[in-house]
Amino acid sequence: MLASIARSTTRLVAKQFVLPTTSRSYAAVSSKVVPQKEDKSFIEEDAEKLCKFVCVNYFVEGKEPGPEILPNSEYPDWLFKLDLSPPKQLEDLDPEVDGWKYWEAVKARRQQQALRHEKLRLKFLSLQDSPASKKSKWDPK
Amino acid sequence: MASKVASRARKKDVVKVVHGALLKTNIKAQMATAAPPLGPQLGQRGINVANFCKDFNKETSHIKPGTILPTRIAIKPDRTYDLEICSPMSTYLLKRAAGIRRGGQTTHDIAGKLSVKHIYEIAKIKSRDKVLVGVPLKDICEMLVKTCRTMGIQVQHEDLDPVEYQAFLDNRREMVSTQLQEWADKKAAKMLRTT
Repeated sequence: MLASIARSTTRLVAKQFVLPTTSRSYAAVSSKVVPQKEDKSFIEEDAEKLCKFVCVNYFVEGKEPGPEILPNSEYPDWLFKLDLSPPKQLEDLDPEVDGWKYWEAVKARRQQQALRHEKLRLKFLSLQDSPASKKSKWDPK
Repeated sequence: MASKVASRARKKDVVKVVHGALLKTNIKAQMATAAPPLGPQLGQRGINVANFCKDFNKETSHIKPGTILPTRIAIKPDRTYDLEICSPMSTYLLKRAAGIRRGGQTTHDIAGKLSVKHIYEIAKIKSRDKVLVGVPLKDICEMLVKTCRTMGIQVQHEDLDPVEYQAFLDNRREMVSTQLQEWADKKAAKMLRTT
């Protein structure tokens, strides 16, 4: 199946660029992450209150601690059918089903591949096949 | 060596930057001051900083001090301005609703949990923004869910269980304090290093 996906995507996408890969490398957490200063404003930390109310009241004279959480019947139906899944990878998208989002993902994948290609090219510059690196056979004598 | 000294003596050309007519910043309610970063931003665009701070603090006198408010300042050619104060920053509201001070630090870090009902109430607050007039609540909820994902807040359809959540919060607080302690120690060690 992966072979067929590879064939279809390579047909639609610029050749020699996209290979459907599921491996992603994460950037290492930089050692420059600075801890934020402790915020002195009051934050509700009692789980009972957090689960019963939405503690977001930001007015001085508002209802403390905020709007109450009501039973399911008080909320619209679409709320419980909200899509909470993580964003789909290019391999799971389909141009017919997702339309422009598929092509956005294709563009993003192309850019990532080009960036990776460029980085590797520069890292192994000495191994690239370039005429400047070959020793000339011409003898001036 | 001589060339370095010579180059340092050469004056750098001062380029006058012309700023646009709109200034987008986040300002804490009732805490506008002339200190950087706000002071220089206003000063460079030709606004009277003291006046602005007084005006802003008066406008936000009904809001709890310290609430982060995104503001859009439209600057007119005669150095007057139109101030538009939006609803508080989404990340600020979400962190308060989840009872956390700091969001997730890495990709798979879960800093807090919320239910879709929390998201709904927060979406109602955000919908009062001028920018979101006419946007259906469902779309605002989806935007908030996306923000939660980047912040490290897990959203679930079911209601939160208080006992479970209390345990999670206590655990998380411990982890955060040990992490901050580690970083503080590293920084102190770096300061004391003489090599």
